[in-house]
Amino acid sequence: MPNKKVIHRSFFYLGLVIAFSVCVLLVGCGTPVTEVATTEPAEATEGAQPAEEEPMTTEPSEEEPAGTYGESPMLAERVAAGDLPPVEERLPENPRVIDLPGSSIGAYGGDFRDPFVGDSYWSSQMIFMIAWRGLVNWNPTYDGWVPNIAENVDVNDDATVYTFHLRKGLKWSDGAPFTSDDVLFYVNDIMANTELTGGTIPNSILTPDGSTPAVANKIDDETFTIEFNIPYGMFLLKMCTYDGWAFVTAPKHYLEQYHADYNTPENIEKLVEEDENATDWVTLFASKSAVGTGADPAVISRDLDYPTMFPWVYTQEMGSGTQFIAERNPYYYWVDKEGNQLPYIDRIVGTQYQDEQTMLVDALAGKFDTVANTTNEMKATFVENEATSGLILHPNPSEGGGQISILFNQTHPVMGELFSQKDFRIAMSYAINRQEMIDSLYFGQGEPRQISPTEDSPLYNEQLTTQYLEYDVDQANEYLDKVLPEKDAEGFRLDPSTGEKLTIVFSIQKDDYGLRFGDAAEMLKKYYAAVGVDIVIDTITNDELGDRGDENGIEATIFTAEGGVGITAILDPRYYVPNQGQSYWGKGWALYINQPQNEAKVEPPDDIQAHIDLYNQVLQAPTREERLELMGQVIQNAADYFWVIGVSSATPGYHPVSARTANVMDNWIWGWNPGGYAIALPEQWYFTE
Amino acid sequence: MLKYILQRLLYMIPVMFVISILIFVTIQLPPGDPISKMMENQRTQINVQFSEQDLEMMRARYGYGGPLHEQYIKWIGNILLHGDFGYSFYKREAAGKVIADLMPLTLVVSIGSFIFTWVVALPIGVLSAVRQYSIADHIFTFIGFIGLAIPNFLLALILLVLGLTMFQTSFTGLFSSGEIQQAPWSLAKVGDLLKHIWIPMIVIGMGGTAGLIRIMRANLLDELHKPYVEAARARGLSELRLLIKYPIRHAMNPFVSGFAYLLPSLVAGEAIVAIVMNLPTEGPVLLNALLNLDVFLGGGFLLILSLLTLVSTLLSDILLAWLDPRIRYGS
Amino acid sequence: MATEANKEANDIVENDEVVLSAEALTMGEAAERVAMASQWQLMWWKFRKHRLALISLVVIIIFYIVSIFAGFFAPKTSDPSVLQTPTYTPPGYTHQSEYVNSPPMPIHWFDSGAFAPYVYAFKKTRDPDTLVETFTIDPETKIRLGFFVHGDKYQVGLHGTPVCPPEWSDNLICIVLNPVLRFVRNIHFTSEVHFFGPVNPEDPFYPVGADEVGRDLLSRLIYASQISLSIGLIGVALTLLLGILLGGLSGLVGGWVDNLIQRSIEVLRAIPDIPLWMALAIAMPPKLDPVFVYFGITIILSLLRWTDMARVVRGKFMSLREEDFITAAVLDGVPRYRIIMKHMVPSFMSHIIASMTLSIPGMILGESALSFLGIGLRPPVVSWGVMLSKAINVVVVISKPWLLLPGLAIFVTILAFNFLGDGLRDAADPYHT
Repeated sequence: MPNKKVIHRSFFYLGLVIAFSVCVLLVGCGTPVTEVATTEPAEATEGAQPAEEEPMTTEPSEEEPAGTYGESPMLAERVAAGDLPPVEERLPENPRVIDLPGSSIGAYGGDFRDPFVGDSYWSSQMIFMIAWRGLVNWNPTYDGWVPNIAENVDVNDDATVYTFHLRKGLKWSDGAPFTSDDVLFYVNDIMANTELTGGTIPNSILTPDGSTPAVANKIDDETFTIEFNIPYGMFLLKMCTYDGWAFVTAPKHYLEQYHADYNTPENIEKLVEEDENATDWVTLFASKSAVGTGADPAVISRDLDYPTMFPWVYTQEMGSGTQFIAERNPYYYWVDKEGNQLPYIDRIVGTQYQDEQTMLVDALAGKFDTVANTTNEMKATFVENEATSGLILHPNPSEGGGQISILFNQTHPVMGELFSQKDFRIAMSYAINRQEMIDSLYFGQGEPRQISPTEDSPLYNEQLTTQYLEYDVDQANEYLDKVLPEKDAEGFRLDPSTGEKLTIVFSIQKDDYGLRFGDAAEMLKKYYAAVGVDIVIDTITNDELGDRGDENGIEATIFTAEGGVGITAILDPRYYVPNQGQSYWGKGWALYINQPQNEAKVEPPDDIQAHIDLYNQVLQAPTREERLELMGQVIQNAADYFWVIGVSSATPGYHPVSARTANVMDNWIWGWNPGGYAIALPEQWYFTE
Repeated sequence: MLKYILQRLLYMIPVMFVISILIFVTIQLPPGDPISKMMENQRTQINVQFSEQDLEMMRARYGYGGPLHEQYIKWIGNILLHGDFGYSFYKREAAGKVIADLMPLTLVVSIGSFIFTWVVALPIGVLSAVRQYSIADHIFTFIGFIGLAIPNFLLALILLVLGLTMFQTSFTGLFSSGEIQQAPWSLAKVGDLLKHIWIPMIVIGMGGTAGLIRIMRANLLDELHKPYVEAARARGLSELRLLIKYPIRHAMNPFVSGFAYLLPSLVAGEAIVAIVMNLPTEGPVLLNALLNLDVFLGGGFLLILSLLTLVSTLLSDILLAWLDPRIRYGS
Repeated sequence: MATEANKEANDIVENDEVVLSAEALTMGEAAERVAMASQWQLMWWKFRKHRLALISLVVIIIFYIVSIFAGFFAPKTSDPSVLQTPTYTPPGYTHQSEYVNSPPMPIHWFDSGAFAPYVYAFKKTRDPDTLVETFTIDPETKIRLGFFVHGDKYQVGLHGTPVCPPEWSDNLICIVLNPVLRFVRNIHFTSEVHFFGPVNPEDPFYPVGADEVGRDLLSRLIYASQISLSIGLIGVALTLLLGILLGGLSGLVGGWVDNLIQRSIEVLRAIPDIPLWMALAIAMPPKLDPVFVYFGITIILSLLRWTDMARVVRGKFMSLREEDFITAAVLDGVPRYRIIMKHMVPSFMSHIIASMTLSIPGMILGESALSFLGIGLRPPVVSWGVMLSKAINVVVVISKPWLLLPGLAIFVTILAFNFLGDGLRDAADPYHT
C-alpha cells in the first residue's frame, strides 16, 4: 500500500525553484522595513504576501461589484430550483482570489478521474485535494505562507500569541457559518478535553514543548488567538502542512451533539445506543469526529453529512464498492480573478484498485486523469503510450535531500557500539560505488551525494553534501582496520566483542516507493563484502519495520531521503535530528523522545541531547533569520557527526496528468509537506474538452 | 432420502464448529490485533504519534481483548444468535454487510467459471478417452492443461496487456464504470456484466479444466471397456450413439461430485485473479482483511465459504444419488 | 486451480482401470515375458507408450540435474544467495550496470565456417527525457564463448544446509543437531569451471537477457530452480508421510479413528486453500530468517494436501482388505504387520507415486501464488515465484518480456509433472488388462 508520508521521493528540479526562492528571499529580506516593523513583525520575512495574493490583500474585492460572481452550471441549476442560496450569499465577503501567473480563466464541469490502490481516504489523491487547505496555505514556491481561511494573522514579538482574522461570511459545506467558535471547539474542547484524550497530552502541533497544550481565545466571530507557553516561530509554517487541516475540520454545529459538554446525558445515551461502536460518549465522539485522539480522519469519506471546508466534498462513499465520488463544495471560498467561484472541476471520481499493475493498465488505456506512485521504470511506457492514455508527464521537483539513505542504528543494543564510531561509517561510505548504483538502479539520473539540503536551499551545507563520496576501497579498508582489525580465513572481518564473523542485518522494507531498497541492498552486499563486511538482507513489510523499530531492533536499513529543498530540513529533520519515527539511525533516541514509556528507548548522551535541544530552539525562533541560523548549526552538527550515508541526489520525478486538464502549473514541488497536488492548486484546474 | 439429508445436515454442525474454531485461531495467530493495525496504518500514512497507552485505551473503548476463547464465544454467539458478524475495523463497516455486498458477484463469477470449465473439459475428456494416445488426444489435452500450468495471475496480466496493446482497451473489472457497478440491478447492468465477465471466467476456469479432463477421460475409459459396451457395439450401434447413450452418462457421475470440490478451488483461484483484474468480489477484500488481522471480516468470509462448500457437497451427493440409483445412501 | 485437478486425479487413482492394449506384445514368447516380468518392469513397458510422459520424464530429470549442479550450469554466479543463512556468504556477485535490462543476446555458433561460438556486445543509449533505453549490437566487439570455461567460483553440494541461528544455541535440539548440520554442510566442492560461458569471465554474457539490476537472468533462473523444484519434493514428502500415516490408520483401524480422520479431512477440504494459506503465511512469525520461511511455506503447502493422499491410501487399504490374495494370506496366518508391508503396500505404491507426482505442481504454483501476494518467500532469496512476482508488471510484459521466463519455467515444469503423473498413473496398474 502506498505510503503518503514518504512519497516525497527526493527529486529536485532546480531552474524555476532557484529563481522563485531567490525572488522570494529578496522580497522577504528586501521588503520595506516599515512593513516588517508595523504589520507582521514575525512573518513578513517569510515572504508572507507573494504576488499571487496581492490583488486580494492590498485592494480587496469590493472592486468586484456584488452579483458578478460566476458559478458552475451545476450549482446554478440548484439555485434556480431553490435548493441553494445564490452564489453571492454563499461566498464570503472577501473570497480568496487566485491569480497564478500564466493561468487562464477556466470552464466549469467534468469529472477528475482518480485511480488509487489502497484505502479510499489515505491512498487516493483526494487527501491532497482537501487536507492542505487550513487557516493558512503554502505559497506556490513552498517557502512561506499565504492567507487562506484566515484572511490575516498577527504574531506578537516573541511568537507566543497568534491572532487569526477569519474571512467574514465563510460557510461550511452545509451552509452553516464558519466562525472562531469552530476553531475554539477543536483547540479547547477536543484537543484539551482530558476525557477525550484519555488523560494523555496529545503530542501535536498544539504542544510545542510536549506537555502544555495551547489555548484558544475568542475575540469575536471572525477573530481569535492561539496562545503558547513558549515561543513557537514555526507554528504558521507547520499549519501549512497536513497538521493544519484539523483546525478547520471540527464543525461545532455538527459535532457538539456528540460532546458531553454540549448535549444532555440522555440524548448522548440515545446516540450511543444507535452507534454500533460506541459504549460511552468518548467512543461515540471518537467514531463520529474526524479529528481528535483516536479519531479516524477517514470519517469524512464515509459520513456524507459531515460538513467540511474542502473544495470537494464526498457525496458517495466507497463502502464495499470500488468507487467514491466527491462533488464541488457550493460554499467554497475561492474565486478566480474574474470572480468565478472555484473549483472549476465538478467532481472527483475515485476508483479503487487492488493491484498497482491493473491500475496502470487502465491508466494507459486512457481511463484516468492522473496516476500516483509512478516510477522511473514506468516513464518510458507512459511516453510510448501517450496517445492512448491521454496523459502527459509533468516534471516535479521533490522536497527530498537525496535518493535513498543508508542507516546504521547507532543506538542498537548490540551493534550500536560499532555503528557509533564515525570511522566505521566513513568506511561504509567510501566502500560504495555510487556511480554504479546510479547507473544500475536509477537510470543514470543523479549525482553521487550525501543527504543534505539542496544547493539552492538557505540551509545548504557543502561539507555535509560532499564528504566521503569517493569510491575508494583502500581508504575504506584503512578506516575499517581501525575499528575491525581482525579477519577470518575468507577475509571477513570479525566482531571484536565476540571474535566471530561480523554480520550486519539490513532490514529492508518491501514497499520501496520505486526507490529499489532491495536491489540497492544487494549491491551494498557486494561492496561491503569487498571490504570484508558481511551483511544479510532481510526483506520485511512496512508493519514489520515499524514493529521492529519500536523494539529498537533494527540494526541497519535503507530508506528514503528527506530534507532537501528550501526549509524542508526544518519540517522533516529525520536525518539530521534523531527525533522522528523514521530516524532509524538513532531509533533508540527517537523512542526516548516520542515514546517515553517504551522500554527499548535509549537515553541520548549529553552531546546528542544538546543537539536535539538546538533543533527545538529552531522551532521556537521567532524570526526567519534566527531560525535559519540555528538550523544551520543543526546541519553543521549533522555534517560533523556524519550519522547518515547517502547515495545519490534526488532524481527528477514526474506526475502524469491528462492532456485535457489545463492550468496545471509547471514544476510544482512534490512531497508530503507541500501536499502533493495541493500546492499546484487543483481548484483552478479545468478541462479543455 | 429425507432421513439421509437430515443426517447429513446434522453432521455438518460439528464440522462447522471445528472449522469456525480453526478459522478464528488461524486469523489471530499473527502478533497484533486489528486495532493496533488500524493505528499503525494511520501512523505510517500520516505520521500520527501514539503510545501503547493510546492503544490500550482504544482496545478498552471497543471492548476488544480478553482471552481467545471468550472472544470466540462472543463472536460465534453473535453470529448464531443475532446474525451479527461483528464490526470490520479494516472496512469500518459491519462485516456482515461487506460479505453480503460482495458474495453475489463472487458466486456469479465462480459459477460462470465452473460452467466454462465444464464446456471446455467435457469434449476434450471424451475425445482423449475415445482416441487415447492419438495426436488429437495430445493436442487437446495439452490445451486443456495450459490453464493448469500458467499461474493464473500471470495469465490475467498477460490478457490485460494484450487488451491494451492490441485493442487499446482494458479488460479490468466486471462493469464498464464504477457508476454502473454501484447502481441498482437492471437489465442494462446485467448486460454490462455479461460483456465483462468472460475474461475473468476464462482465466479462473482454465485452472480447473485439466482436472475435469482427467476425470472424464479416466471414467470413460473405464466404461468403454465394460462388457455392455462391447455388446452394444457387437449389435452394430453407431459409435456416436453408443457413446452418448451409456458410457458418457455413467462417466458423468464424478462430474457431478466434482461440483462440490471445484467450488472451493474456484473461489480460491478467484481470489487471486480478482486482485489482478480488479473484480469487485471477495478475494481482494479477504486478503486485506487477513493482512489487517480483521478477524470479523476475514473470519466471516471464510466461514461462509466453508459453509457453501459443505452445502454444495451435500447437494452434489443428493444429485448423484438421484441420478444414479445404484448409489446407496446411508452408512 | 491445480489443487482441484490433483484432488480429482487422486479420486481416479482409486478406481482407475486402465486397459493395457495387448498389441505391443505378441503371443507366445512375449506372453511368457509378461508373465515372468516383475511389476516394475511391466509398469515401465506400459509407461513407455505414453510419449508425453516419457518426454516429460526426460525434461524433469534434466531440470533436476541442472538444479543440483546450478553453479556449473549457470554461466555466471549471478546471485548464489539462494538460501542466505547468516553464516553463508555468496562467493561472488556479477552484474554490469551497462547491461541493466539488456535483452537476450543471440548466440552465433559458427564464425567464418568454423565452430566458434560468440555473441556481440551491446551498446546502450538512453533518452535522458523519456528514459527509453535502446540496446544496439556492437559489431566491433565479439565475445568468445566456450564449453567448460573458467569463470566465477561456485560451490556444489550441501553447503546451503541451515544451522540453528545463534539465538537458539541453548536449545537442546540445536545442541544435538548443529554438529551434524555443520558436518553436512561441509559436503560440497568448490569449482570455477562452467558448462558454457564467455571465455573471458569478465565479459558480459546474457543469453536470455538481464534483469533490472544487470544480472544474468539464465543464471538466476537456474539458481532459483533449487528452491522451486525442491519445495515441491519436500512438501510432497511431508504430505506422503502424513497421508500414509493417517490414511493407513483410517483404512486399517476403521471405526471411530476412521470417523475422526475422515471428519478432519472434510473440515480441511471445506476451507478454500488459498485463503487458508494466506492466513497461515501471514501468521508466520516475521522474524524468521529465509531458510525457516522456506520450510514454513513448505509445511503450510503440505498441511492441506495430506488429505488427498490420506483418501487415496485409505481407499486402497479398504479395497485391498477384500482382495482374495489378502484373504489368502490372512488364512495362512501371516502376521498382520507382514501382510501390510509385504502384500498391501507394494500393491498400491505405484498409485502413491503417481499421486505424488501430480501433487508437486500444486506446490510449485502455491509457492508462486504466495510470492505474488507478497506473503511467501522474499528477496534476496530467489525462487521462480519470487522472480515472477517482480516481473508481474505491465512495463515488463510490454517491453521486457524476457523477464517472464520464470513463468515459462513454471509452465514447463508443471506440464511435465502432470504428464509424467498421468503416464505413471496409467502404468500403475500393470496387471490390469
